[in-house]
Amino acid sequence: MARLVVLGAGVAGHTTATFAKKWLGNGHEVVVVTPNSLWNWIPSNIWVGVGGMSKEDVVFPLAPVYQKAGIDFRQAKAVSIHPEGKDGSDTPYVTVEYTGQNKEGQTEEITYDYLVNATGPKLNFDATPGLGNGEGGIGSNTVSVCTADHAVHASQELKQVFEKAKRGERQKILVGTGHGMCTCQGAAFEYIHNIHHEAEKAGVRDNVDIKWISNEAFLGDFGMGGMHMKVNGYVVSSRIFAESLYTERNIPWIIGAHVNKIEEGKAHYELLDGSTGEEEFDFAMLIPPFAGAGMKAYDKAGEDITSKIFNPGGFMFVDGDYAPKPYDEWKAADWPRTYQNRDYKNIFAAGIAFAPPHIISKPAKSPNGTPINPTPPRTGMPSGIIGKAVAHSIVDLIKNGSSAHLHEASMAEMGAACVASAGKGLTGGQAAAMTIYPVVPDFDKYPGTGRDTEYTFGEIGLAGHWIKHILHHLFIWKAKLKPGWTLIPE
Amino acid sequence: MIKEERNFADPQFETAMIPGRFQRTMRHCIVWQLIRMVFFSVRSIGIIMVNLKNEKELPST
Repeated sequence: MARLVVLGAGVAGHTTATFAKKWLGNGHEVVVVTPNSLWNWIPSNIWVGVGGMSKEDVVFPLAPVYQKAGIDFRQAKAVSIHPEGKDGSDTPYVTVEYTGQNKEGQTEEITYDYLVNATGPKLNFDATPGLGNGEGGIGSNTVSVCTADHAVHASQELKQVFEKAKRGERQKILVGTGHGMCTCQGAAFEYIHNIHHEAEKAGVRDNVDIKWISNEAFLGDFGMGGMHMKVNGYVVSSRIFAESLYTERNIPWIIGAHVNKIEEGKAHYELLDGSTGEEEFDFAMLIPPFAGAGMKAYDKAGEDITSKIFNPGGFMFVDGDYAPKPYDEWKAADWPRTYQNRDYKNIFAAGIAFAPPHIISKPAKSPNGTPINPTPPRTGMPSGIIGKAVAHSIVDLIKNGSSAHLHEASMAEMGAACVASAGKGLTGGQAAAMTIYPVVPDFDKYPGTGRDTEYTFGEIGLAGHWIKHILHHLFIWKAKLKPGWTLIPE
Repeated sequence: MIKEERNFADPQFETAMIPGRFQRTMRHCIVWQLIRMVFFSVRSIGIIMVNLKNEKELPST
């Protein structure tokens, strides 16, 4: 009997664990280690953040789902990896610290035959002074929609802002990224447009100034270097697509911005041209930069090998090409295909946890040397596809031995569908529905745009909102492993 | 004139384009949006098919 340990139960980890268990059956063991007791459909947090959904609509308890599936669930956070075992034993293990199940604070060593690191991001609020509370959590100056609880708090704060606006007090809202190296601009994009939509519905839009601030070099970069897509028969840059939407909704923007300090009601920033500025606000939602989960790694002798397994940001090295090279020499082939750790072949990383070989957008620095560019998104559909491919590889390795073939899911050969909400409502809602192929541009294969414009398409309308709402229910159905869950694509 | 055209007074917005009355109506026309939903679903299935086609297996190292 082999044991697969999956660290993390987000989109990637949950997909890996559930498919691996289904394919392996009861002859092998699947253990999931996650500090959270609840599964969260994160794409809908933006609706919680504007009061359009409750926390209960976007989360469910993991324990009963894993019990039904025969998966061993440990509510704990992974602390360290020991891929060579320890003195007296060659069996690799992870050290975990419980956060629930009435074992809070207790540590345990869990041995494994195969390990998947799908820990997702650590929300690194403290990277920007004033954005965090100095203890790893969010500070009191801004709000976030990164977790369901954060989104509930954001909704309460936003409600107060709307009430003040109703009383005739002019309010300033600032939404975007809280650091020069953030990713996940898409979530902030959705949130700002949902705030606009709700302000219109509440009849307070004329009394609310809404402004965007982000580290993108141009609006519509989204950490993917932007894209050219078919819109109404034209091939259009995502820059025009995004700028047009912001113009229509009267949302001005500050771009190429590294937010370097937050005070109560004020954000300080540095721009790509080296100039600095500050923006006052009554309400701000700024996405924090992401870091790896912060696990350590040790060899058999107990020596620290963290830098061998993880990059400085805490993301795990896999089979990508990590040799430093200039932007002009970046290739689609640099991106990992199997997500197998380069040193320990029984360790894989999936979703945000794997180290990208480089960013996707063109790197940029201010004259002061401050890097200001989005880091690559690895969430949503790519996370699920990677998680499933990793599960497939490990199942084949367990069933067929070390000669088994590994399954590929390169982001440079992967298409994705993305629906970005711009307002919620059965008949009044809107969303930008997009398909993109490939996620990582391949300028050798598609000179000019880097992507296949036959498959890269975008449109805004009510249909997009319906699709996002249907996907909300579909993916929660899938994550709960309800009948037919395997038929729902990632 | 639609009220959003006033936004062009801000020089930052000058190079963008905004939908006119017809396009805005179509964005919320139930029948048209049902058609677009089917269209987007077909597009998405196309992406899934491409992903399946690109699935490969590599020899384990």
